[in-house]
Amino acid sequence: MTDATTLTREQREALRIFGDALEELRAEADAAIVEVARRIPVFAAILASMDERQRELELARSRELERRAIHGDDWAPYLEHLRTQGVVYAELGVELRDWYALLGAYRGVVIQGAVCADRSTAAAVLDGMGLFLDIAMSAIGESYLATKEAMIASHQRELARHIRELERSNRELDDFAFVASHDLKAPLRDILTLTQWVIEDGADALPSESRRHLALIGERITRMERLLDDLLQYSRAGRAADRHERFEVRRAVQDAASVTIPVSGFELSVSGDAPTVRTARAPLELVLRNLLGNAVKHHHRGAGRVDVRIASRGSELSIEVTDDGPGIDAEFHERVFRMFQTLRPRDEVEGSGMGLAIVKKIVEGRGGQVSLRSSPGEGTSIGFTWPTMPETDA
Amino acid sequence: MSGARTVQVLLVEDNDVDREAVRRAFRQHRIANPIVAARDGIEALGLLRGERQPKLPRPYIVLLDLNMPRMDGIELLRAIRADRAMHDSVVFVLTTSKADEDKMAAYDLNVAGYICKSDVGTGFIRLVELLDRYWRLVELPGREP
Repeated sequence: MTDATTLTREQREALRIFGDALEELRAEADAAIVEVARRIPVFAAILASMDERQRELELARSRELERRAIHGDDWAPYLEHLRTQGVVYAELGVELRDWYALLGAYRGVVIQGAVCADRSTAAAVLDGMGLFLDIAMSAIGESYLATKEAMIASHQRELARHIRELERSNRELDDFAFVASHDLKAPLRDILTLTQWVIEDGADALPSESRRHLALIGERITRMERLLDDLLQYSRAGRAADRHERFEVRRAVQDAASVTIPVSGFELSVSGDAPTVRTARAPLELVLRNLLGNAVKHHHRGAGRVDVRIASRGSELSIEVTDDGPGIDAEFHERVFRMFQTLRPRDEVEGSGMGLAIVKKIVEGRGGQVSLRSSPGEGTSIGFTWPTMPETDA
Repeated sequence: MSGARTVQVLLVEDNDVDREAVRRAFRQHRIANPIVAARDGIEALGLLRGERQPKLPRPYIVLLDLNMPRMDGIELLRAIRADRAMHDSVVFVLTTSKADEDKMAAYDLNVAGYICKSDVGTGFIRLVELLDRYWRLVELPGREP
């Protein structure tokens, strides 16, 4: 352990931020427990039957249990994992009387469970397991409970190992993306510059064929720069660090359209709900820009319609972007979401083939889903769901 | 007009092509201000302090790349600001890095401007235009403090 007095200013600041984050985490864990419990039918019934006061008591208890369930030495690194991974992990331990309809009587039960929820959405459950124990059968229950606890503990260790592994591979990908974007791009730019100088200085001396070849070298370099840029964007996509803000979804659609849909030739219509949500705006707009951009870029007539339908249900948003373009044959529906895949030669339609791969990675990273409906001549419709933060105030 | 003497440019850049690009842009725009080049922070410090070579005369401005071997741009900036004889130097950062932390570190060390190579256009045209206007209008620090 480092002595507090030897810490640097940055380290003390980091500790302070960490402390704040812990407080926040604790508050969110409580909300997550209730939210998760609601989704499990047995728990939901119990929660519904408990009055407010009782529920508060149970929550206080479960909070205490959460702290005790983990070995003291592991508590700090465990919380650090939660903080960095954006995951709320909470141990649920509730003892109460449950109505058994078959017996026509109340029986004492213990509910043991563990839940994992995404911090950014609090309610989106990543994983959960629960155990419903009849206290009257506790002789059997004790050993059962011990087995279950051992299982939970082993799951926790497994989870921690996966998290470490994931952190390592994320770091490697980050390093690679940086090397790709910076170190590979620098010599590429030099080649471009040198090519331009040759064209400038030797234009008159060069045969026209050679001038054309030099121009092609220039185009290829620009294309490779774009591939590297998009690769970097892909590797960065879906990181949890994006800032959450409150905004109107229609505004985000309009903003994305303003940079992707040309003023003339294309008509944009936005229909459906007009919700105001709390979520990470930047990645949502990146998804919309990619979808709207595709609708325009791949259109066979260079003019057409793009329809955006918005639906809002609880804390989930679903958006569908439909165009009247050439459509995609069913046999390619899976391929279009893979990295560096294009359906037409890059000399015809400039693109890295990363757009939908980025869309899929961002959406699925946030617990949403992407769907594609299209057939040749029928246009293309790509929809996605997007969990949002529950609005606390109406 | 600033002082009678012509402003010199100290170009600190490890990439040969970028060094040549700046020289070329000056030539194409008929800017006669002399360019003195250094390939990293250590070479630049040698020139600024006149170690084993004539000292770079004032007035000058520094065009500084960030990623360089031996002593990088931020380290050189720190050395410049810490040296009483040259802490008033006017420095422009010229880099490929768009990273916020680089920008913040540079402005923390009072650079006159942070310029991204990708934004200065083909052949560094906009950089040359900026510099040409800059030293026509701006009074640079003269005598050594």
